[in-house]
Amino acid sequence: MSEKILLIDDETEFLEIMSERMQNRGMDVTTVASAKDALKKVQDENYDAIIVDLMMPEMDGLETLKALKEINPEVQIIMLTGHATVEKGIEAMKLGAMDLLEKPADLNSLSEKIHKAKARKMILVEKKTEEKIKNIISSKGW
Amino acid sequence: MGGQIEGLSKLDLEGKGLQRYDLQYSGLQYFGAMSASIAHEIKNALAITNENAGLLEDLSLISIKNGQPLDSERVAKLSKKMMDQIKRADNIVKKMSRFAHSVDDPVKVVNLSEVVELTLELGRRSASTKSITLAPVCCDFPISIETNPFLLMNLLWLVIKSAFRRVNSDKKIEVELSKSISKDNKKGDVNIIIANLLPYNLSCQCEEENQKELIIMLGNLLNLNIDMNSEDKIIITISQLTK
Repeated sequence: MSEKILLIDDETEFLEIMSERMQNRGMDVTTVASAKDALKKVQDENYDAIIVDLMMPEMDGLETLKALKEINPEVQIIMLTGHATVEKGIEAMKLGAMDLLEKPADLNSLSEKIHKAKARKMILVEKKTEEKIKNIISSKGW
Repeated sequence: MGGQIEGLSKLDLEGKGLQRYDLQYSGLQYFGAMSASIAHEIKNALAITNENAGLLEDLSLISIKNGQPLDSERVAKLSKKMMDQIKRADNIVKKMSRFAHSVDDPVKVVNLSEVVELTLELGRRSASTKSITLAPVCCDFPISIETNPFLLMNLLWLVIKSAFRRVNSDKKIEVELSKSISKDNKKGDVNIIIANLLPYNLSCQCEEENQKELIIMLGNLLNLNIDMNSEDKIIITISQLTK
């Protein structure tokens, strides 16, 4: 099954080309140019990985990361940055980003990280499902 | 035009150790912030160029795999997009070069509207992170002044940043230049007006106290008068002696 990706960047031309290249690699890509639109999408849809530009107008990448994690803690986020400061990277990882890639990014590296993100998400979802089943079994006293 | 700014010789800050440090640090902070913003812009242009080149590579691999010729129209479009991004990056580098050279001379004759426009261009990305637009400078005539270009840009940016908290609901800061000459024709004033702001209030005053001190220091250094308390604007006045 193809990876379902949400790509967030205020550079629309970047979104257009990057999504085409990712689609050529069999991924199912949705693009949004603002954090606000991304938050709406995440409320309605489930993604295997979300790729976020660290520096955006209105709401920057770190704020977006926090807000996305609040909506769905299992979501796997890869930060893209043109501003590669160590501090920002550490902050992003502390806030729960799965990984950080510097722009211009190598699509092969990004694809690898997306595969990892999907695997991680599947493990988290399986664990959650297992816990739910255990809770149901113990509460019913079967 | 091109008259001497009165009191520019007051650049000496002897005996004001802490103030000198504050000013130097503020200048360094400004230089750093703008350089980081420029680097980010260049990285964005490089990222788009990189993806366009990558897409060209993808298309050629697909065409080899399928045994079909490359779509020449598509290739031409992608080449055009790459050239556009190279132009974009080149413009950014030109701005960076002008900015870097603003520290070359302590005092220099400059075209004021060009200095103001460069300050706005460099600051646009930073303003956009607060959803604020900086409108292009409004000036129909050339104004030459003799000043320290870097300190003037630093001052102007501090003033614009302080205006972020007072921006109107349309979130658009306007900058106008105007000039007036005294009746005896001996003195001329040039005004840089930062407009479309909400009235200055006490909450602004508390939050901005440190920044305001720096602005006043820089204003004194460049012999400019800065009126921050005006109803819906901030006015920076440069007094000149006319020739």
